[in-house]
Amino acid sequence: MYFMRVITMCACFAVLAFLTGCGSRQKDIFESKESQVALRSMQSRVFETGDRNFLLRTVIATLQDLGFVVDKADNTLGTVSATKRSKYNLRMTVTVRPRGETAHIVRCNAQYNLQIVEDPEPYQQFFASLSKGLFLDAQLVEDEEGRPQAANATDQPTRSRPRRGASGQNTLQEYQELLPYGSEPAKAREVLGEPENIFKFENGEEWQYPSRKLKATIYRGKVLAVEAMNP
Amino acid sequence: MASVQDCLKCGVLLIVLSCAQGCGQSVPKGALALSPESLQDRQMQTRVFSTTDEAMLQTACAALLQDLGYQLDESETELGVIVASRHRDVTNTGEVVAAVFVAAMFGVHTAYSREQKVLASVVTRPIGDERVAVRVIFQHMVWNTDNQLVRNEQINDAEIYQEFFSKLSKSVFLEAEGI
Repeated sequence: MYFMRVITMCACFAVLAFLTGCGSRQKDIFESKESQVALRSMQSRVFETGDRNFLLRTVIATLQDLGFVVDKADNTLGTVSATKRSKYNLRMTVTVRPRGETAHIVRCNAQYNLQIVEDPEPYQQFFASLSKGLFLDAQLVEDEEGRPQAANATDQPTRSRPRRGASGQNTLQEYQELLPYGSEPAKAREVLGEPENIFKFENGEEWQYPSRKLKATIYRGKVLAVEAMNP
Repeated sequence: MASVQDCLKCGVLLIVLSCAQGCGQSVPKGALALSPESLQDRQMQTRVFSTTDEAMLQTACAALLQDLGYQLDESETELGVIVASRHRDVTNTGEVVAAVFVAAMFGVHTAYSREQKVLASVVTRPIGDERVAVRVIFQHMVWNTDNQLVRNEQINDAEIYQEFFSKLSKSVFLEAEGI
């Protein structure tokens, strides 16, 4: 008799586990645990460039650097969808839309296997990679100038070389190495000096150094990224 | 009786754990961060061509993919994107024989690889004013006879990429000659 009771209880638990599992089916049509505002804030970043095509191409290049294969891209809509396959499926859709004349908002949303990603960290990593990509490309264009042109269809891979230092001051890349994602703001103050301007936004601040053409984003008490700043 | 209660506790714990595992899947750390390997991959997957004609390169890439038996799935010329794929039967006689042998000896059903899909995503982008970089990435998926996805990953064989680019150089030449 006792065993029957144990079996019944186990069965009840199993049924309960199924019911409470991962949310009901009807809810899954608009699945999201985070608020709309929080989602937008973690999935969006403003980039100071008015060149939408350049930004989209850099988004594509960054996705490729991260091991994604582009599935779809649309220049008119400003969207790129890509998938990373590495025993798992990670799908990303990135949209670019203008914000004023000289800036664009980049927003991305990710799906890991069958779940939407609502953890801010992967998005921060993506934007840090994108910032690096934007910088590397600017650098690549700069470095290619005046170089002898290789013969048609060279077997020469693209390279990224360190930027030439500007009269004793650290280069942006050096600042980025000194202040990786997650550094303490106190360290940023030590390395970069007192900010010339502070722009506050929800959960963070942007420290601007217009004289050195760079800015640091502090988000939730940590350094998110050090980036180039257009005057 | 204490042992039965222990069993029950263990059972409940296991169920709770399995639920937590099912719902708490998260993106592997570093999946969206640049790694030292990403620069190596970029070098393996990229070649630079001295040309100002990006459209010609795109046409050459599309023609090459057709040469290689791929179907074009998607393209956006303004962003330099071409996506193509090919499906093939990858049934291997050795695997089939092994599966039949296992079934005959032990009465156990064994699945073997049946179908492969290779995805190729080619992206061109101008570098400066006189050069265009072409980057290609291949990924492949393999399904077995039970329709399970048994392989799902990027192809990292440098030779495959070299071969693609040597064929692309030829394709660019043929394109220029109008062949």
